[in-house]
Amino acid sequence: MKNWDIVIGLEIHVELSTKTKIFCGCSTAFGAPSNTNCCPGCTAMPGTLPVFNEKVLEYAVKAGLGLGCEIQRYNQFDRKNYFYPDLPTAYQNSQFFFPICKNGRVDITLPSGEAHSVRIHQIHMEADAGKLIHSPAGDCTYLDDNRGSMPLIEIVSHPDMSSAEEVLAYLAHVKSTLEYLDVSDCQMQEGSLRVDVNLSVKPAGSTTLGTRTEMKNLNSFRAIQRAIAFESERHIDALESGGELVQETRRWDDNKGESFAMRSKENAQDYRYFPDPDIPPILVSEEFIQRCRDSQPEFQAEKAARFVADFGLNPKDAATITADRKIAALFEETAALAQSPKEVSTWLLGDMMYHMGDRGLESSALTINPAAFAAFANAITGGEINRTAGKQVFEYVFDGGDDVPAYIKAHGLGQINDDGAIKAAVDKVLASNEKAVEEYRAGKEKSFGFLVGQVMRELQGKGNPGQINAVLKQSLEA
Amino acid sequence: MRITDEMVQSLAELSQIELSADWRGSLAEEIGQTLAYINVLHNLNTDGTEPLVYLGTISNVMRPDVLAEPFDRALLLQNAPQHTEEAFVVPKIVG
Amino acid sequence: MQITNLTALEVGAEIRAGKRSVREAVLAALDAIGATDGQINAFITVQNREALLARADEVQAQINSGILASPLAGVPIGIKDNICTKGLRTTAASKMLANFVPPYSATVVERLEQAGMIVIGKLNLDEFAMGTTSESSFFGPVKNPWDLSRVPGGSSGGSAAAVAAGEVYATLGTDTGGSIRLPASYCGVVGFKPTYGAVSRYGAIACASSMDQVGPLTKDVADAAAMMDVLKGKDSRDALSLDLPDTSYLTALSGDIRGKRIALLNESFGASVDADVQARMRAAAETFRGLGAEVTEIDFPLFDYVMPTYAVLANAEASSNLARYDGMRYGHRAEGARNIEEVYRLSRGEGFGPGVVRRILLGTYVLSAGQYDSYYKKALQVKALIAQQLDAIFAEYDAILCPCASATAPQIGETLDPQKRFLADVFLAAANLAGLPALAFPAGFDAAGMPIGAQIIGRRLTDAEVLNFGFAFQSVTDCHKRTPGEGAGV
Repeated sequence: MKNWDIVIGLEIHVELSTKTKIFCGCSTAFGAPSNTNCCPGCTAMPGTLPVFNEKVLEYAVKAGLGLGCEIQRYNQFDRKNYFYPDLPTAYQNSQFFFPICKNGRVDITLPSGEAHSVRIHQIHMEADAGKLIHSPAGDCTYLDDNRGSMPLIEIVSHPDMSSAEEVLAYLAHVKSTLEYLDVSDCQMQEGSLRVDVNLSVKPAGSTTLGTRTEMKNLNSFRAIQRAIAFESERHIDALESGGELVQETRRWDDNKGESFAMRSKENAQDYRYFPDPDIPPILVSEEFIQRCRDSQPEFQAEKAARFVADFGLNPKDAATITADRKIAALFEETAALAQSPKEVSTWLLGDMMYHMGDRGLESSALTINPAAFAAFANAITGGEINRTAGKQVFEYVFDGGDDVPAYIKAHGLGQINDDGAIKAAVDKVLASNEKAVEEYRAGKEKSFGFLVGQVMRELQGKGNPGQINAVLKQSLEA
Repeated sequence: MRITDEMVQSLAELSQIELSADWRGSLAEEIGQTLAYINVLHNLNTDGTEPLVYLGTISNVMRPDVLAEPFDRALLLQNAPQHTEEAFVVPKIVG
Repeated sequence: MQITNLTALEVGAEIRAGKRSVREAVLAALDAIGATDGQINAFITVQNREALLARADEVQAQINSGILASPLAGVPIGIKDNICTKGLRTTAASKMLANFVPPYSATVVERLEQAGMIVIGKLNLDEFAMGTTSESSFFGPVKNPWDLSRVPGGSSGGSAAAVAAGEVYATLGTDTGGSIRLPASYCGVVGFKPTYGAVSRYGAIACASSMDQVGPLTKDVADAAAMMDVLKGKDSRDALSLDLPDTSYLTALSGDIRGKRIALLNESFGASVDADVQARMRAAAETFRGLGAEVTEIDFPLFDYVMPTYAVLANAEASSNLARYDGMRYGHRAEGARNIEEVYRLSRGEGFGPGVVRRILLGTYVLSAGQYDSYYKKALQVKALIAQQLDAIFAEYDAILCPCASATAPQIGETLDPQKRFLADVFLAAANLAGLPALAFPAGFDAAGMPIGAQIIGRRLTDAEVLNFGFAFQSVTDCHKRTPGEGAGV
């Protein structure tokens, strides 16, 4: 590897989370039955015309500002002409001559802590294509235009990345920025965030770029990482063995773990771009840009720094919590009501993440009530319940429960802090575990833990662990 | 520039139109004649003239992000040469 | 046979006065079509008789109860068959759309129906509105009611012929490079192309989007103004439609053009212009002078660049607009297509006629890699210069006067070389390039008794004023009252 430099640029397609499509009033909701989010416009019936959705402009400008771009004042849509069955007009409305954003730059921090910058060449607005669904029998293809005409922005970076690590850090930054701006839900599985990787390899230190390939169909961070590893190795192998690389578009097959050349037309594509005469130009005013700028939220990096300062989180936890805007908001609301923000972060990063993963839930599906979460954390901090019982109470909170004291009472989970009750349990355990007692006295420290467990069991898991320790030690040494 | 049969064929491929071989030749000639007529444009100096795309001063015609009434799917599918109750049907597409 | 010699406004007035029922008006139109259209071939589709009579009764009831205020309520009309009518086949005169039934109606159709007009049927045209003779229709050529051996002009040939032959009182056409005004001129009727954006294009099958406009063809200028009152104004579904003041063009017709300055184009007397046409233009100029206008002969130096510019832009846009006809979601799909590539190539190869294919290929060429700057961009620059030159003319004059065409209607089948095909539109396309309102109106006849049309072009958004020039002309002339029945025609 050390003889070669890898050069990577990304094209990120992001579906904007507007209610309606870019040029008609059809719904953008995901998962509707085929062709039910359609009208004569987005199925390109003769005589229909596009009318631009103003929310798309707002979201594109916000995204551009969030990614450090200059917003272009003059905008027009151009037609990109090509035939494909998922494109009913046989042209895609895109911005070829005058993209909405130019010259962006994002500063990212790599896992090593090292800083890196990626320049953004441009962001343009465009319409998505529909979907092809292959019939189960394999004899024909169904056309579903639900996704057709959904609003997209395409974020084109400069080839400023040289490893999968940099690519993932850049992508995570872009994704988080767009999520914080609430302009896209960025669901890679549902295709609302799609990444094309442009990759080439050149001799280390050389200033001449090598032959570039473009990889499509990358729908997870893991797929991107594997695809970059595979493709860079393929390039290097070819260069080292004197083989030839072709500039082409390749499809990543995540099951096979390989990229494959896509069938290329005999004719190189000639898109015949020209200004779309059906859509009048869009002029962006300074006031509009300023309004978008004023409405910008606190982004991840600033928020994480603030969480470190205000709540005493360590930087790693702060980074994990703020990676997701909704989780960060949940933390912040809860921590404000809690005696110990640290207690909140512990449960959030532990049990909450566990349940989310276990049940396959996205943060958007969380139903946790912050006040209940805080009451729960305070019950732990205040010693009303111990950690063992806490797991059960937290699950209640996770499921949306909002009366923590009532739940603790109803299920008898309150912590036993009564010295008398604890002493009674300790005595009982010592009496029935003579062997362990002897071993402890003979110097086997491990036996102490066993005895603590037995006492806790005797107290049905509700004993105050600190008190159990103290009383047990006292009794053993007596 | 002379328009050749091959150029006509490549235009036909770009516009996805099957042309009969015997028509290709006469089309090349007709398109060549029309282009010759159009080429008078090159007699006019347009240096420094901004291309005029949109007439008047119309701009920023946008619609609010408001859902329209759903459209009857059956009406959208009724004209398709082949369709199911849910979708347009075309011959199998090989990815 | 004619329904009547009345104009649309006159028959509308009779209906409102109770002198004639809507049902009678509709039946008369159906009878006229039955008697005439076998020869003219103006209609591609005529509405079902029962449906029409039910609609007539519905409108009658609304008129009787005073709901409908339009002076055109109850008047039978026809719609060019490239304008979508919900549930009524709309073909664009192409094999490609021979069985297409739109799931929605064009805004203009909705507006006419809301005003109580009765859509009798759909009118023949050049395939996809591309042509100047109406011979390229998949449904056969339209004949000129004045002389059945001649073309009616195009592309709105059916729209002009139906009015001239007295089949309906008024029709809608579309005009991209003269397609309303040329057939109006050849058929001796009035045709009006509004300012670009004055009338919604939503539902009109696109030819060249930057120039397409819908407009009326009528027996006289007052009818055209009344139609415009119904058609005009902002439509939220056409982003380029304009917010216009809510004033009536019909009411604005005063006939007073005293002191107005008219620029008569010297090109009207060019070598390629027929002597009879030249004579009628001089006579028209005199008529305007007699009405108190000042007429000055001027040059339009960029005149010869209009058609080449138009050809580049119109064909480029059309090549893209017609790409959606691919046999996937609607329209013709080739029987023999075995795979997706063949669905495209064979369906489009079979579905489009030769004129359409020629234009698509030319349009594809001027947009293709390496040609864009020297053709498409160049044409946009020349368009800018043409628009500037017209602005300069309108800084000094209120209107431009010129003929619609160099000659009267040619014979059907007369082979036209590509050069001549362009010449037919040479006086017409400037108004489309610059988005200006333009009126074609009868200005007399040639030696063979064929109608000659004059044209008034105005400043952007002076549609009412342009119509008023024609109204003034018709208040002192009567050539627009002649019908083919009295001449050499049917």
